[in-house]
Amino acid sequence: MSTLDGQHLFDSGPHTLRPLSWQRQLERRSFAGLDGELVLDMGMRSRQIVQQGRLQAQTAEILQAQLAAIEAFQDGLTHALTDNHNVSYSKVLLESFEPATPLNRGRGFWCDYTLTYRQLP
Amino acid sequence: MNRYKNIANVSFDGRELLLPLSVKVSRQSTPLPACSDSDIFPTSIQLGLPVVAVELRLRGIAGAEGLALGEAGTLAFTIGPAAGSQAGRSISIEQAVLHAIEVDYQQAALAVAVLRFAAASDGRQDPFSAEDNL
Repeated sequence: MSTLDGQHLFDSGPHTLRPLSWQRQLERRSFAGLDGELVLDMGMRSRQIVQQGRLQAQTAEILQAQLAAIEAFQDGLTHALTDNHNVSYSKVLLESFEPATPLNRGRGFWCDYTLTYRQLP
Repeated sequence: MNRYKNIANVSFDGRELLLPLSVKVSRQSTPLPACSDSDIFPTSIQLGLPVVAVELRLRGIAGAEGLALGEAGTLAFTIGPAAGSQAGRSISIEQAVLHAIEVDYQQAALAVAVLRFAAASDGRQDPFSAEDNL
């Protein structure tokens, strides 16, 4: 299971990780009457990594504690993320975290969530 | 092991519904599976909102036609034992809301009414209950 700074925050339920594309900032210049364009590479920029999953607990209090433990990493600092396939992502900021569903009561308490990281190159 | 047959009586909101043919009680939730990107089978099954639904078929179409859509009340019925030494069973569905009335009139067969209910609750109590008659 994925870890954030070595902590197993997401183990109560399954989740998926999807790294989006690195952003390469480009400046494009074209001139009247001339075919083609100049492309200036301004360097690599950050990318987003999207995690979607489910948190589950026997009580609402435990589920709230799981949510709070994840929210605590939304501190503006970079962290190290390791995914389900042991692929590591360094210099990752937790950009946003929100439940994708209400906190439901079914087989215990649960909610689906969406978490977005921003990884610095 | 008790077995049951022959619906003895059916009542809705205190009114008896005559000549019941069948009562089908269905309690269902939608399964919500999920798995991680390293799994090929779901590792979590949660349940959507459970619905207690009842389909009642009866030949007493006058009583069925006298009901109005949206009426709510307790739907209760008893079913007899399959053998004399066994117990019958009483089933009750609280806050059953009538949402469909169908009547099938036939030329050469008896008319049959079909009533459909869905049950509400206070949010914590299962509206369905059943127990053997002592």
